[in-house]
Amino acid sequence: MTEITIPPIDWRVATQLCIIFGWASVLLIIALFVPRSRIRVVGYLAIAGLVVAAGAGIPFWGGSAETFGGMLRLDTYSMMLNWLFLAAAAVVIAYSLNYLPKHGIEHGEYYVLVLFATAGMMLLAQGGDLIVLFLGLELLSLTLYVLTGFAYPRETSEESGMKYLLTGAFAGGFIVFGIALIYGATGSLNLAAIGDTLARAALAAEDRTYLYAGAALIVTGFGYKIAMAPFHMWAPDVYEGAPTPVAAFLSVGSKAAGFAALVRFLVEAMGSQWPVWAPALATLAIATLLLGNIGALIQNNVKRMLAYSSVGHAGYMLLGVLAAGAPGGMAGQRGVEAVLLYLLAYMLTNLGAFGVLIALEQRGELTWDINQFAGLWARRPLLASAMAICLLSLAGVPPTAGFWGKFYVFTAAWQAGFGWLTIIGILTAAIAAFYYVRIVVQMFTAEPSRETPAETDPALQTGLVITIAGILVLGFMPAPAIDLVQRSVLAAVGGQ
Amino acid sequence: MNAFPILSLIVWLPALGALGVLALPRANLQAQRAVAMGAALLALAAAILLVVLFDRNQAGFQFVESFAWVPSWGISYTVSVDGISLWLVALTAFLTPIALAASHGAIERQERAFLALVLMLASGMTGVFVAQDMLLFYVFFEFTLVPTALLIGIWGGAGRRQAAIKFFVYTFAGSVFLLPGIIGLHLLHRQATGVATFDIATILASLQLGAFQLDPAAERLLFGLFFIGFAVKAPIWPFHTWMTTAHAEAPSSGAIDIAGLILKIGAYGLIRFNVQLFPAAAAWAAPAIGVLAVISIVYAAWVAYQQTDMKRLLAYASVSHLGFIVLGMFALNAQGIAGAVAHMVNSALTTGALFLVVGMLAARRDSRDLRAFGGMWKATPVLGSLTLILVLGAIGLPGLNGFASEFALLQGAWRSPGIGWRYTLLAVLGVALAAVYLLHMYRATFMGEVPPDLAQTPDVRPRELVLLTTMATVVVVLGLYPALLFGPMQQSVTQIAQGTLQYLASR
Amino acid sequence: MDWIIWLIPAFPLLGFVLNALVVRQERQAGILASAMVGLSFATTIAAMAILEGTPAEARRLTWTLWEWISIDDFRVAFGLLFDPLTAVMALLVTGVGGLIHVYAIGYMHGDARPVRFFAYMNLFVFAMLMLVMADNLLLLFLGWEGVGLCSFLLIGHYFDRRTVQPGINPSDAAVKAFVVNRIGDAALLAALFAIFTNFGTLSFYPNPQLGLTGYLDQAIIVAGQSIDFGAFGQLPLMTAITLLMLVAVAGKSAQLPLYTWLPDAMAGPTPVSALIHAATMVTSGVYLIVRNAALFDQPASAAPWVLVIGVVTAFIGATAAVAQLDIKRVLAYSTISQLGFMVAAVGMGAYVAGMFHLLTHGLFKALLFLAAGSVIHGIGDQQDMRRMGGLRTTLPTTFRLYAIGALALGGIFPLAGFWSKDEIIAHAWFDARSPLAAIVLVLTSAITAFYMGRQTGMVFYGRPRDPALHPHESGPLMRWPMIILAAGAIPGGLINFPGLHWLNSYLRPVLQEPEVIYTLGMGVLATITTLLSAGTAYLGWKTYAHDLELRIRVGKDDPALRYLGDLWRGMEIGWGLDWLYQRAFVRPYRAAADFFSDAFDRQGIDGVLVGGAARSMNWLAGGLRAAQTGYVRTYALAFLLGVIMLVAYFTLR
Repeated sequence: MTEITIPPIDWRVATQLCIIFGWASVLLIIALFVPRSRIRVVGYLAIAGLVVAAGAGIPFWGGSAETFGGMLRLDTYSMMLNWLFLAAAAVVIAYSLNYLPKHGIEHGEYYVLVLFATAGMMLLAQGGDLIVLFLGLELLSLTLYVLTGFAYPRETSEESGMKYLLTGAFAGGFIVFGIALIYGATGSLNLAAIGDTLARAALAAEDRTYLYAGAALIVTGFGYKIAMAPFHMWAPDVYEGAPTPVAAFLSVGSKAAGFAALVRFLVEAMGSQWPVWAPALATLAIATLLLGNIGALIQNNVKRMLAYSSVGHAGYMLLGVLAAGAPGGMAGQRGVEAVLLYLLAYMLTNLGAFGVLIALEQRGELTWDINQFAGLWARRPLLASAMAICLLSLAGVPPTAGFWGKFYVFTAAWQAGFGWLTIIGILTAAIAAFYYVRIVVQMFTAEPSRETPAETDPALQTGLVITIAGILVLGFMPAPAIDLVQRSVLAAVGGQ
Repeated sequence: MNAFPILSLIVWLPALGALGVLALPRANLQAQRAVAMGAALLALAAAILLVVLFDRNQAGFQFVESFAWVPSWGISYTVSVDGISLWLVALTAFLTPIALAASHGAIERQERAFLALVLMLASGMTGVFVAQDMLLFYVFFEFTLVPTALLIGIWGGAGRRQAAIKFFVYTFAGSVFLLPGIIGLHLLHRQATGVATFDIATILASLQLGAFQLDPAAERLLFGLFFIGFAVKAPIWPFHTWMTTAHAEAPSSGAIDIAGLILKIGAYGLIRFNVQLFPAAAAWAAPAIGVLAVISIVYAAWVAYQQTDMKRLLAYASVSHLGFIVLGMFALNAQGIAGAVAHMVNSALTTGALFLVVGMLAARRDSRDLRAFGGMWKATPVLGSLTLILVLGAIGLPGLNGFASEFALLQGAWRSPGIGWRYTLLAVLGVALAAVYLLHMYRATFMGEVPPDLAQTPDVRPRELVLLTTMATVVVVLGLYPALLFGPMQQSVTQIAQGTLQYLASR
Repeated sequence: MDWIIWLIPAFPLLGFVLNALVVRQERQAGILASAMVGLSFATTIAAMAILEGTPAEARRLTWTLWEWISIDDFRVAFGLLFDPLTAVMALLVTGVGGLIHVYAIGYMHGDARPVRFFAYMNLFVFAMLMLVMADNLLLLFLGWEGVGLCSFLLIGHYFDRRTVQPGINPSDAAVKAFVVNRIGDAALLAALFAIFTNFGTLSFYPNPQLGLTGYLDQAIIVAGQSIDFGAFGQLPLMTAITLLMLVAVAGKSAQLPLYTWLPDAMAGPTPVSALIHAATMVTSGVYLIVRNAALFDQPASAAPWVLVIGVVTAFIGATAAVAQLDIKRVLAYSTISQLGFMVAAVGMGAYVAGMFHLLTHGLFKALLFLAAGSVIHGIGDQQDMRRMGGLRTTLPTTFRLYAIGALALGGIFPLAGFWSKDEIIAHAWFDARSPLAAIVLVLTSAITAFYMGRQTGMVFYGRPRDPALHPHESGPLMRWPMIILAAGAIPGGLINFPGLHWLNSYLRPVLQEPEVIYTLGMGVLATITTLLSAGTAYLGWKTYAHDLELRIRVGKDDPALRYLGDLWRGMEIGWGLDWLYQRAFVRPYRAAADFFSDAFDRQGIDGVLVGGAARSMNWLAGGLRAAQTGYVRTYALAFLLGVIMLVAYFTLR
């Protein structure tokens, strides 16, 4: 009967998580007492919670700590990501405040679910242990399944929710299996520990094989979340079906979370094996770039187009991930920075684009046809300009946030010795230019084919203003953002 | 470093003007025009001041303004001019007000946006010419796409939307190749010297001092990346079709043709990067590029002869001119490069002025088809005579601007080892063909019997007269006293030529 | 005081500017233009006086206004040169030019665009003076293309008419002249490049003001060099340079194979034909060769080719002139033929003889054109000789003047043409030792005499064939210039009279050409030639004034056609060079342009390459869309395949 000593718990590490979890549970109760008509109050409260959580992180910026026996990490890397998630969630909720009632799907649970999803993302960013990562993944996924089906009046919404659930379960299964294999091989679930074992090359041949197999399965699992080819096929259908704010959340939040976890796993656990996994990841990156960008070419449904484009962007970020594992600290660090900056730029841009989409969306909208944008400039110059800025940023045209993201990623890739990948990167960027500019031209030069009333409420406007401002500020003055990402290092990378 | 940020002034004045125009109420068109023109003229004044203050005895970059943009990356906002960019800056500043004036009355809707976009475009173009930081250059270079595409797409002709998309995607597809080129050059330079910078002057210096040596393979790779980007933009045959489409679809007034399309930012890039930074690779590639250039010259001239749409014809004309420019700069000697730079200015002036003439003709007959005209010289003698001067300038008649630069660059090409007299002989054939297609156009529109319905066509209006006489005067002055152009660029050009000679000698 | 030479071209330029911008009234324009040319004539005289003061070994005045182009070692002066050769040319240009300007005041009276006409005439004189006075090839090229431009402008003077007699479209003729000239100009450009590349300068003589060297005195430098054509062997550089120059000459001086533009150039007003297309511009090719004598004297030069081209052109032109029915076209072809004489002369190295003929021809050919103009003017703008006839009585003065011109051109003793032409033939026979050339030239001059006789007979003798005409003698403004020219054409031979050799000795500082020693043989040859010419002239006159006179009908073919048939047709169409070029060059060029612009450019490059890239992308996208079935099982399958491949890679590596 041995004494079990519980190691002291460093609550600072979990502060933000606790705030979100706690506040989400509280809101769940509150939502019961808020009258149906005033339900949006819950939304405001949720935003408040997010803001508080974000603020609560500030004092801990800079350091790096872990707790629960290394299960939970807090380094500048995860802090940076947490802020991204919180901001994204806040904007999404702002978008939803009027979207839900307009489409007759207003329920307090919606906001709570968004909070839980956010918490899941934060777990993915902070987890230092495969179990925690899995936990975060499942938490995120489950909430998103529900959110995706939230627009139940539309069958497509329910259908997409179901598709997401099925494919998600599929992926989840692989991850669990992968974790098992790795544990079998190394006897540990802690990323750092796994990393050490591998670095010390103290593994028997078959164990090594098991570990690689497990790693492969885990990569597929996270690859699914970030919509990496060939695990991306759910994306267009789910984006199309999901309520547009949720689609926005999917495209930025859960993708970011997936990358957070993927980077941490590949760098901390598999860092020493970079020569092994880099070629595979490069191949996947190429596939993702091509499938995403070519697939988007002929989409007349803007929502699907954005889905494919988000696949393409995952491809660009994969270049960063590729570099993140590169040996010789410098290149690796560049890679992490690149991913973070790209995520930041991409988040701002995509949220902006979806915001405009929301403004144009009709109740029971099914097509999201490109013709809605025809002559938008004549009717709503500002909205059209906003959309144009987002599209140009997505295309990576300077001076916008998107350009700096691409620039950073290409540089990192070239530094990591994958210069030739940047050529493929720019070629796909050229392809992508077509379907983005197509919409710009549609908005500015075409005659309005069908009169779509575009409604923007204060909340939506605020969201749009923030994102567009962000895109431009980042575009014209990237220095602060770049400094920020340069300070956000993986503890593992920074530590060793 | 000089205290007064004159270059930034020239770059940003138009952009400020654009914001001002947008700030004005939609209804008040007069005020909008006034503000736009005011900003453009201020920029022009500043540009003239720049030319006056320019120290022609100095080869390097002058009026350098620099402050860190992204310090951790060595990206800086550094602008400057040398003898090569000086005239292109001046040219842009000179053409902007003309483009604005040309559009007056020709733009039926959304004139406020039009003015704003033209001004933004002007800022972008100027930025390209003054940027001394590679990344800044790229930012300006790409930025010019947006206003141009919108100008074509919104105010263009029947196929304007396709043309706009084609223009954007095609040229974007080309210019993205610059990005890896720039990144690669930056990283290689940092590996070699440990200095993280995108500053062209710095990289050039360490190249010339030998602190930074590129092995042939890497140099040729980078050269190729830059070349693709600029060759598409220039455009060199066979990348020219976007340009002819764009010109054909751009609004008739000629404003955009001047503001956005005839300015040779691609050719400028070729000199600034391919020739100046990679002399060895340039010498290596010169023969191949010479072939492309000659094809551009002769082919475009030949095709131009068959065009009935005057703007298409002029588009091919400027492709042909571009061929001369490229041929000259890859002669890699002083005459060739100086001639090329001067020809960028001259061809932009004459071709641009002719685009204006087409706009005026179109305004009178609502058509740009050669066959719809005839005998205009009788109906509109002043317009006819001014046009003739411009046509002759474009043909390269001695005593007019086109000749001196054309002769200089061909002379350079003839005596250069890379190009040689064989290519140049073909290029000289192009000189004769230029007379064929341009006189064909002049004869069809201005000579011959006057169709009865054209007999009463009004001659030039005051605004048109001012525009064309300004252009014609410049054409004549630069023709009789080209030293005006060649003088200031002398030093910079010789320096580049020297650099090339050293590399050729060292190999 | 040397700067004074700039006044010579300055006056006409001023006249052009004033007429172009200020003057609006016909008479003012005419007077101003003539006065300006007169002034520059006077200045030329003055300059010649100053020139006399300079030492014989460096007998030239130069003045550079500014450095025209200066890039690194490539430096060209915007400077003028005035030496005996220039002086002679300038004298001709301003002298004859002035007279023609005065004549034009009368001739162009009541024209639609007289001011524009005089402006262009002045511009032409300016350009021509720049051509002959330039101190370097590049500035010469300015004049060279300048005169081409003016000829374009003046041929196109009636640009708004569909046709002028004989059925020429002025606009087309103008463009044709410019383009054909441009081909020659391109060749000259190439010659310039080659010269600078090998001599490092374009100045003829050292330029003290800018410290430039001259290339003429270092011709020997490139004597040895040659261009390698690989399989095709070697070509001496000097041959290449001089050949390129020859092409330029063929363009500007209407020699084979580029003379086709000159007959059509008659679409311009007659004074233009007299000044530009007879007396001055077309002779600039000859001037170019004489100026570059130093190059053509080199053993490797293309001088033999020059001789051949000249002789053949002389013969072809003369034969073509025989069969023309338009009064001006006869003179046009005759000009081509006479230019052939000059080119042949300089080709043989008989530069003085060439210049001599250039001058005399300038006098009497101008006279002939003006007289022809006076005829045309006098009978109401008719140029068809079949409508004329019997004008001897109605236009007596014109007739006498025309006769003098005709005899001079025909080379009848003792008029100007006889001496100059004879000198060339003699040189061919005795010095150049090319009897063939001599014989052809003798024949040619016989033919020349024949067609002049024919023309005189058709126009002035026989019966008036067109009752509709009401001939009237033209006024003093037109008469006096002709009289002065005639007064020059009669004793013109004195310019270089055997034994006196004024021209020869005057040009010696430039050409260093020894005086010709006259032998009995020359006398005999001359006698033969002139008797032959006299005979053919009589024959031509008799045939068309009497024998066949009754068979000349308006709108009918020339009676001689019956006897010569296709041969005559060939001569009538100038040996069909136009016809040939239309099929060999113009139409193929158009066809190719059509193919390039439509099939190759629009469908090929833009359609297949550019459009194809886009289409293939869309095709791929279509494939992806097909794969995106919307069924979860499909996605799962793709997922599974991905997993398998990934795991396989990681484990089986």
